[in-house]
Amino acid sequence: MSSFDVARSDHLHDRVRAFIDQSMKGETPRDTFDALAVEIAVHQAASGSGVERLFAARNLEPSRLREASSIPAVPTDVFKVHRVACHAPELDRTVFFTSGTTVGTQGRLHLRRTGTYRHAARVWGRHMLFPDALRLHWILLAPPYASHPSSSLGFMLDDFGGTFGASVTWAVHNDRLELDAVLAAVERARSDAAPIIVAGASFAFVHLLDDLGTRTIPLGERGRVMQTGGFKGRSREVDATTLRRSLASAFELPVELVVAEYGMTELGSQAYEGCLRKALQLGEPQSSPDVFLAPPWMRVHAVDPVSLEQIPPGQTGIARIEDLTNVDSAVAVQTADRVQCCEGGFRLLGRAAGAPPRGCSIGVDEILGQLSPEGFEP
Amino acid sequence: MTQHARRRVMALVCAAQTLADPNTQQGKEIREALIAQGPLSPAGVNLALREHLELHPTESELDTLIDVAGRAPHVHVVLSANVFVGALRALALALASSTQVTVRMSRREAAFPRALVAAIDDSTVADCVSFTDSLNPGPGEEVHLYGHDTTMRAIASRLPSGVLVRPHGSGMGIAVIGASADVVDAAEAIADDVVPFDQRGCLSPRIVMVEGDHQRAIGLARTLAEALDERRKRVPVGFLDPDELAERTRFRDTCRMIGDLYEVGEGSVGVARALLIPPVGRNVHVLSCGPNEAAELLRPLTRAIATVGVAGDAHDPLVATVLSTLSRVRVSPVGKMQKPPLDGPVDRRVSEPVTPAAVIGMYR
Repeated sequence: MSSFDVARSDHLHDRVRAFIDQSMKGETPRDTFDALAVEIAVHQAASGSGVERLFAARNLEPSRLREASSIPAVPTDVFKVHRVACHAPELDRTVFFTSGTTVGTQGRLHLRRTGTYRHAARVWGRHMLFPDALRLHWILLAPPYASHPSSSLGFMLDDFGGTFGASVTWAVHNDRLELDAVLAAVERARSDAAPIIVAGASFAFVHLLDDLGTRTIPLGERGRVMQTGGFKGRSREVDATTLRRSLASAFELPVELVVAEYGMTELGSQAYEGCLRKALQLGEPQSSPDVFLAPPWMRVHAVDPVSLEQIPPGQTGIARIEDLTNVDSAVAVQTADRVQCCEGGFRLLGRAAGAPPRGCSIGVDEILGQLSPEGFEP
Repeated sequence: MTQHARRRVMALVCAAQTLADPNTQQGKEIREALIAQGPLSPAGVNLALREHLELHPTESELDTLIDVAGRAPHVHVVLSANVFVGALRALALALASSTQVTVRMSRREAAFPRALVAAIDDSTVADCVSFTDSLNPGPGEEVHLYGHDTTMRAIASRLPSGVLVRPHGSGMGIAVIGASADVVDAAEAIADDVVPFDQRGCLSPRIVMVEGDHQRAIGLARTLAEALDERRKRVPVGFLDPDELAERTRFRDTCRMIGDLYEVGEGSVGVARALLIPPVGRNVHVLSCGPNEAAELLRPLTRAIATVGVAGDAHDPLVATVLSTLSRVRVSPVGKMQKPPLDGPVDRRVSEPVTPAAVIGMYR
């Protein structure tokens, strides 16, 4: 018999928020990551969201688990065809949709409480993107969140702008990037001491570069860029290194101030490259531009794509992610994103492209039309 | 003119008969070559040669094939890999259309087309065919293009104007089980469609839609799993590469979480109420649905579906809806999906030759 225990869920949310705060203060959290992850998994299995079937298939008893890495991970594919939520639909506060469609369906994350999501995003965003500023001028290459409330990226950017914004400019309207709006916003902000941050999806930045041509938009000494990758057929494709250099050049910034984010609709947490903190001499152990740093409440493992067993650092596998903020959905998520774990973080190598073309049989990816990394939000 | 075309096609069919016979020298040699080439198991190669070459076309089928093929001064054939028997139909269509046929083979599947042409007894027919590594059609000539959608786009974008193209992109099959069908018989027949080529052909069923309730779908899935298990002992699955195995892992966990899964050696049968796309390698997704739901589910897949296998009556509501939704596909009874008559291309999604620009638009 499965049921959703609201009080238990609320208690877990509170403990996750405490974990976030304690770990960011450098304190030893009262809960260990493993213990909290397992408790969340037990809560999810008891609620009948479907994850209990993965436990059963592996002959695992949820309450006997001790390590987060033993929790069966829910494939991201499932989010596209099944409601992955412990609570009933009438308790949904917000539903985020993936941008890509899969045979007519979209991946969804159903949130009963948005506070944990918001808190985690703010804390890690501040740590990785703007540890040196209380207020920034936000220029967002995305449609206003109010008009696209199903976008998790829009939700996060809207919250960042509202919480940490000296000003906020949404530069995409009616599916068109408005270069004039970007130029005007930069011009207005340049005289102010608060730094300018331009944030959005990679394809939007490509449109911006195309519109700019040989012109540049100097963001000033403290300017920075946050881009979250993936093109999804919405712009020409540009490799990560070229895009980073082009953006640095266009905004007259050092390349270290162009930060990539790794997030996905199915997760409540995000990872960022550590290059900006390194540039600010804030001493991250790993600062290579292509290394992503996950927050303490999120673990990224490279696993073998067939056995789903964890593989040693340095070897390429697909990303299995344990995210404590996914209290009411799936605390362990199995992606198809290829990664290499390394000291301090992980490298993202793109999405597993699926089986290579053979014969005239259509490939799964060909049908799904999702060859771009699934981990990137709209 | 038709008689000449018929003579050329039949010379090719006779060559195929020679290769299909395991007792001929050519039959032995092609088996060795195909087994060495992979990815099918030895039994899989033998099954393909014995059961899935069109060795005995009727007069009527040949008439239709020649009619459909039309006429061209020169046909350039670009073949795909792995479903090697497809070369017979591709070359038959080319020879029905022209006395000048140039073939560019896939690097991964060169054995069968060469052996097929080498086995043609009539030298005047064999001399019509030449092999090449390049593709240089001139205005007014035709290109018969087989392969993945990316190949369609890539090749079409390099063709000069004035060339006509008959594109046959990638695809898959679905099976539809009407209310009047016997699910046990249907499951046995579907197993016969799944096993050949380990589902690497565009005629292979990957999804089975069952009219009725979920329990009926479960019943079919169980029987299908048993039937596949019995067949894999006779015809083992061949080589599956790591990417195919990874897709299978994801498919299996998805089925486990939202439905039921029956593992069958290297393959699997999943039952879930949502539409899933299983990977190749003898993986099948079974779902129960009604006519309205089926039409909605199939709409985004229309371009990907090349064939429909039917069990039951054409008036069964689900069957009727699927066939009206997918009007430009080859329709066969289940159990015969991999044995289409030699009456034209297996893929009926594009019926007339088109310009290269049109191909790029179609496969964008």
